[in-house]
Amino acid sequence: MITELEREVLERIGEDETLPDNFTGEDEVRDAVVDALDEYCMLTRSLRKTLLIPLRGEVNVYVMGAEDTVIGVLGARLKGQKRRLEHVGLETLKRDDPLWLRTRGSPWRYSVLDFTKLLIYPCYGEDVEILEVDVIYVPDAYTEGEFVPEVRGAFQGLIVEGALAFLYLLVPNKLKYAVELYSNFLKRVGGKSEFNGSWVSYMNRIFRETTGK
Amino acid sequence: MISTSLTRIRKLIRDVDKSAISDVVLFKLYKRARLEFFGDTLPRVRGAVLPNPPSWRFSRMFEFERWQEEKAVCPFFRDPINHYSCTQPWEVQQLQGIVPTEEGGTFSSSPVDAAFVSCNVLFPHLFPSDLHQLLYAAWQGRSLDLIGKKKLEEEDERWMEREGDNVRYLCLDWPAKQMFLPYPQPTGQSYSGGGGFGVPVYYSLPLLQGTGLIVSVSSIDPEESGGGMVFEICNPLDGFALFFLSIPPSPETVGEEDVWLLRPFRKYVEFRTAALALSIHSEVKNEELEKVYKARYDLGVSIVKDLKRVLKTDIVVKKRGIHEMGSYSGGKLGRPRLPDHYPNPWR
Repeated sequence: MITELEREVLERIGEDETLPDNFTGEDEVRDAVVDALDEYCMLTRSLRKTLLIPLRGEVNVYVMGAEDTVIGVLGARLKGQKRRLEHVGLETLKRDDPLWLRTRGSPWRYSVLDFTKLLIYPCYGEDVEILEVDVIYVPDAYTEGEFVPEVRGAFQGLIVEGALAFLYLLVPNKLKYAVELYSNFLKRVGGKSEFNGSWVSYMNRIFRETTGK
Repeated sequence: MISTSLTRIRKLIRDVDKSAISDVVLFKLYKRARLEFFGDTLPRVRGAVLPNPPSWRFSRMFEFERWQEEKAVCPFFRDPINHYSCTQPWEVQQLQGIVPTEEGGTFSSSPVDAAFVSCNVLFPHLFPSDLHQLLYAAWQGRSLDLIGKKKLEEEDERWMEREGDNVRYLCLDWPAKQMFLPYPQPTGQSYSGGGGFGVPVYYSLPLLQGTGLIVSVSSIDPEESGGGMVFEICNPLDGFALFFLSIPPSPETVGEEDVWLLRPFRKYVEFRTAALALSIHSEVKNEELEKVYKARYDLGVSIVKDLKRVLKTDIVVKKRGIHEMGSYSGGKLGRPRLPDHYPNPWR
């Protein structure tokens, strides 16, 4: 089933949603929408949720998120004790307790290793607690019948513009238009958040070089 | 799957009918772009436990080369990873006319072609093959400091003979920094194994290649497989526990899933592959497209680096020691940019 965003993208490129001719099917449009959603989430870091991780005995490191991609950790707390954990780096752990891998007890610190792994210190000797981790994430690519992220109306145009920028890259003779759309997409995202403005100027420079404007 | 990515790349380079670039060539370019992306952004930290023993007792048949007139020298001494073992005592078990020398060399007084030698040698450990940069190391739960061979020699000139379970340092200055040696050597460890003719010794040490993660998967759904990843639990107290920046190997076939590359980052590798294809292959050469795709890749690298800073995982390895950046306490980076005030666009 075609989503609201996909329908709008097809309308903007002048395609009939039932009989698209320039594009081979919904897949390309869906890919473009997913790419735009990914990039929007990564740039604005606006999508958040709480992960529940059952802590296991003798385990220090946990993997966050199976399908969604965690791109930021806002905090972690023990659900039962309603206590927040302090964030530290590996080097601090090592400095404060050179035997931290051997230490057992109720966790009071955590460290983020990468986009998928969270380390807690110390670890329990047995399974006793649930860890709540507030994360910023990018949703998994949606497919037919699965959860489709609903975007507020005010932001739909932005996502559609990003999707069009991806889509027109695939069309011969539409490169300049694609770059212009993408530049606009970055500019609009940049105008609405603490977005790194240098990227906009970088894309604008590429835009000038390709279009000659 | 990678084949899906290749299909997208073909659309980007306007070669959907595969007339210009074959699948094999495009896959090679994909692997190159993927390595470039991992090298540029270093998004993966991996944990591993190397449960291997620090010393190794083994028997091996050696081929001898004739040296000078009536002497032979054991080629073992010329193996790059064993250059330090010349000072170790060798036990010659079954060897006619061959005696260990004070320098550690084993010479034959009469020419022989091969001999069966039993020896007890200190071997350096091999790091996992995907290691890019070591972040943390521990021996049986005790944190270790990193030290260079030169500095260790300055502090203790007989450091290679020291034994004891109070391991303090990981000596790193081994060839290509792919190996390490603990100081002092833990005691009471041995392993029996063997090599064959013409096989370099280090190829016959599969146990030295630790690949297990310290951790297991545990999330909202404890049964999730993480897209085909297999996690195994290794007890970090069993041996050397390592955390390191990893550049994971590329899948071998296009039918495989690239499990190490996070899905939102895949398009950046695709853009880079497309840019490489457009710059290299004359049939699809297009400077304008290449420039745009390269820009998109560079932008992607910037985005991933920025996300890493927010994740607070930026780690700068200086010449000596490891220092971390990005704390909440201000400094050059200051507080990570989190969009607290930003209106939530999601219903």
